[in-house]
Amino acid sequence: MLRLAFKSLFGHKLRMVLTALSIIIGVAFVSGSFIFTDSISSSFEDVFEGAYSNVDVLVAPQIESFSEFERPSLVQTSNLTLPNGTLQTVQGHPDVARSEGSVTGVPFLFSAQGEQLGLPNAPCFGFSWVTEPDFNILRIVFGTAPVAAGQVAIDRATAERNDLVIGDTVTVQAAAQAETFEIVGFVALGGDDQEFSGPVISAYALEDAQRIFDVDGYTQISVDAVDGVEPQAMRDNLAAILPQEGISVVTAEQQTSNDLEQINQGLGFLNTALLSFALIAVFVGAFIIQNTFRIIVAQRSKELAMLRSIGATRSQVLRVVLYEALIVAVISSVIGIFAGMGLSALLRWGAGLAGIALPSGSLTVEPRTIWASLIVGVVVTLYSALLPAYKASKVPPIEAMRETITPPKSLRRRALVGLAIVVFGGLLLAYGLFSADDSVAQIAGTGAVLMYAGVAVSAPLLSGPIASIAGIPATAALGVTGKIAQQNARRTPRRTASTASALMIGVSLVVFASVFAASTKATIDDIIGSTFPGDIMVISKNIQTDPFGATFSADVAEQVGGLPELEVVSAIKYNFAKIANNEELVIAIDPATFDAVISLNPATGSYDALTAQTVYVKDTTLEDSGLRVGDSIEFEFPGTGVQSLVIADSFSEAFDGPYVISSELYEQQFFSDDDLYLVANVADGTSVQDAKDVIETGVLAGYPILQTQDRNELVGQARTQIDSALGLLSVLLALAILVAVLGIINTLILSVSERTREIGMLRAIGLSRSQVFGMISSEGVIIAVFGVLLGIVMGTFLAWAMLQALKDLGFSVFSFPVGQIAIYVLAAIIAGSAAAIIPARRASRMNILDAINYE
Amino acid sequence: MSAVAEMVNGVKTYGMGDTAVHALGGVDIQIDDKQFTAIMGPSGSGKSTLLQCLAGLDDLTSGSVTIAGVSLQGISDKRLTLLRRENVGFIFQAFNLVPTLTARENIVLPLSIARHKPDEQWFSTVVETLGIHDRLTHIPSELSGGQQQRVAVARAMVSKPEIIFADEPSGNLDSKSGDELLGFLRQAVDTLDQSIVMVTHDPHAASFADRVVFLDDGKIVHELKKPTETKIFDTLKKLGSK
Repeated sequence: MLRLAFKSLFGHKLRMVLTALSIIIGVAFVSGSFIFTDSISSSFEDVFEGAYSNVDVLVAPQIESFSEFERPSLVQTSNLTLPNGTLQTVQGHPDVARSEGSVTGVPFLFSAQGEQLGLPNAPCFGFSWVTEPDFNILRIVFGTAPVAAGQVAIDRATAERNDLVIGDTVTVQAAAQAETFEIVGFVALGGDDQEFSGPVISAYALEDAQRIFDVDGYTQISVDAVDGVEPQAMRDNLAAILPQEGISVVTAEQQTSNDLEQINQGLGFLNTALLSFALIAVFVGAFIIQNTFRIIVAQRSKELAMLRSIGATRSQVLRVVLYEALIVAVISSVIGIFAGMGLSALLRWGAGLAGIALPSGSLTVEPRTIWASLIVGVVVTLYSALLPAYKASKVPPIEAMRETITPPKSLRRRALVGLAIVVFGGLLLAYGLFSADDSVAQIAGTGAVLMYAGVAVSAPLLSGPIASIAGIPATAALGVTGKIAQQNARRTPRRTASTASALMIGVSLVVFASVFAASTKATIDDIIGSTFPGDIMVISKNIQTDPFGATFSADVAEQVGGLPELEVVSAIKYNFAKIANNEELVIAIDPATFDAVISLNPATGSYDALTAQTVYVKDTTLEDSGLRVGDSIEFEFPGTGVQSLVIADSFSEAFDGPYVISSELYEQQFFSDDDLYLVANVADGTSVQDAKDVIETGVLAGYPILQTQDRNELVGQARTQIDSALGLLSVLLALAILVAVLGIINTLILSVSERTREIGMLRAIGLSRSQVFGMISSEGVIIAVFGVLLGIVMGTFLAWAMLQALKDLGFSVFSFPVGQIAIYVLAAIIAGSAAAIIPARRASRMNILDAINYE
Repeated sequence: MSAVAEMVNGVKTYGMGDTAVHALGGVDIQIDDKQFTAIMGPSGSGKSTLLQCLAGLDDLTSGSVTIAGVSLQGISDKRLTLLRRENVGFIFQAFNLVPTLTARENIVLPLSIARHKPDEQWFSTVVETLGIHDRLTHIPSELSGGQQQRVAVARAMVSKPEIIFADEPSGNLDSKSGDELLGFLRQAVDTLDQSIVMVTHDPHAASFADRVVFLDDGKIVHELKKPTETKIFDTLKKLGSK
């Protein structure tokens, strides 16, 4: 039986190659995701383990991270510094052999021409130069260390990228005003063979670092204990003599594992994101594999019946098909794992281009990766082949050998089952989306997957009507050949539908993303139109890539506020607080000036009631929580801990978050008066452009990381941002569509070989080669259009549902990007015709006589 | 009588050297206009090859074929397709119809392919002669085997081709339907002036023809005019005993 399976496989090479390709793509995604994240994780391990190899204990300010992003920088920008005298206390302990204080911060570097260094999304790390080599996580690879005032050492990759050499100057801006430094050396982070290429790393002499990062003292102290004292004992000893409040004392080992945990957590998100693309590819692939085996089995039903009639048992027949599937599955999965290595190398290369900081290192293939990939490939393939194989084994031999075509079974029952699944999936989706509990996202996801499955199940019923509609242009253009193509698409509703369903998934996700993006853009337009009467915004250029590191000193607001060209300048600050243990974004405003630049439409008409003891809350949030104006909410702040704030008013316009507090309260609670952005109105008689120029030259010259934006630029930037996210997503989803196109090729090849005699007859009675070509191409286009129509409906529906669920966050507008969707339909037509090229060529080049006599 | 199709010194060889099989070994044949010609011969005599070469479905190794005054030598696939579409009709033993199209759509298929409008009067004449005028809206699976073959005949005739080639048209039918079909072919020649060439191994079927050509070993060995079933049977016996 195994031999028979092999023979059959090699008898239909192209068909198997296509099936295999769809498995390979799915498996490659799975293994690629694992390999990618495992490799990064192990490279990071190397970097971090090397970093503190000679340090026993680290003393740092206690940072209570409030953001779910595990970003301490929100608080760090307020320059949480170790209390004065901490270093002296540490050095005073008899067990301490060596110790040194250092400063870290987030500096932005600019070339002499004013260009920001590094790739657009690159993070920036700044360090004071640690003089004790054992404590220094940086090493000089070229030039000298930055030990004197005005010197800087930067990482080599950044220097090369920007054509900087020793002796060039760079402008550095961090918390304080910008300063100019001279490059004296190039540094690298990590061990000998480790080099980050991505982040912008810079190091300065200690006093310089303290000044530019606005740190009075140190942000970290590295400690080496005398011989014989264990790190843990050293830690305990130091913890005992240092103040409990606000200081964390950890062993270097502990610090390393904390760092790694944080990184792995971040990688976990990435892994999940990549794996979900893998699952999409596998899901789509399953349709194609199942379809292929269904057709193969149908085509071979005579052969299988013959086997049965000469004495093969049902289970033997079943085994022939399953062996075939198993062989394809194992071979394809192995190839898929290798393809995944390539994919992960490609991802890393792409990440490097995008400026995402990843350490270099070799590819890590864990046994888990191999197992997971093999299991996915084999299970999906066998599962897809099982049903057709089972059906084939059930057919009585004599029936299969007869020439008669069994009449198509009624699709109504199937449609009803499918509909039931769709409805059930829809309910789950609704529950998942609209439930207040965030942890039910998986339920929403399951609901969406069920909806896809349900649509795929009932889709054969739609094959007829949709093929009729999609076939109208084909018939109009090609006459009777178009009509035959249309009829052929209808003739095998299940095959057409499942081929189209595979395409539907990829398309619906792309449509989902574009509808969502278009609606977001429309929402932004709407919000800026209705709530933003301000003329000019002053905001960090890094706001999008590092929103929590993008705050800036209140000095800027003061200087901008002093300009006569501006009438009102209002500062806005962001941070996180906890409400009932959930992290919530709170936004701080200045009640006196806010109304002139942003209108949130508060119920009382003013912000007079916003004091250090009150909060303004978005009306829908109030409704959902069942609270009213006059009630109190308990906020947990990093400063004073829990504080009860009275809800003084509600507002109706969408804002960055539902909780608005006064800047007075903010400064008390967050130890910081740094702003996230400023909004200004120009004075009468001054043009917006003039005012912008004055701000840029007058104030921002000292803060090159900041920029001004007028309303148009604001909208434009938001749109660009959405577009690039959409672009990235589309590239990944394009793979799912590629798999689906393979499916169309496969289906067409099979339907051509099934209809060989018919095509021969048509050629004999006068159908030309090009007409045959057109006929098969039309069929491909009809299937593609079918899939795209389903995809558009599904994608639009999901986007709509999602937007409904996000209404509270201000997604008030639903926008359907007609032009973009039209492009997708066009692309589908092109993809369908492209998919048809191989099958259509085969069909049109058939020898007429061979075709007529084909068995 | 003029010739509507003609083969001169037709040679068809499959394979090379020692293994070469001479399917046609120098055949000269003229198919006369408005005549019903039958080609007979034992299995492997080359009768199907003769029909296929004569119809332009296959190339000769050497020799020439002319259909409706057009020489097939060196003709492009496009021209050949057009020739088949305009001047030639085909009836096969089975798989004659497109299963998704109705009887009417199947009949006018050659015209639809060429984007010509059917001549409605001729169409009615053909379908009424064949007795399928009341089955036109049915798809093939709703028709009997005999009816399906009659639809195939109608399709072959609808574009008024100079010549129709039929390969065992009654081979898959029971004897009653077979007789009916052959009767219709006869009628098409008699009343509608159609020229038909038919390959068959059945003396009874051949007896409907005006002329029977006997083929053996790739050569024409005998010919009968105005044949009867008995005469054909005798001829076959004689040829067989040689």
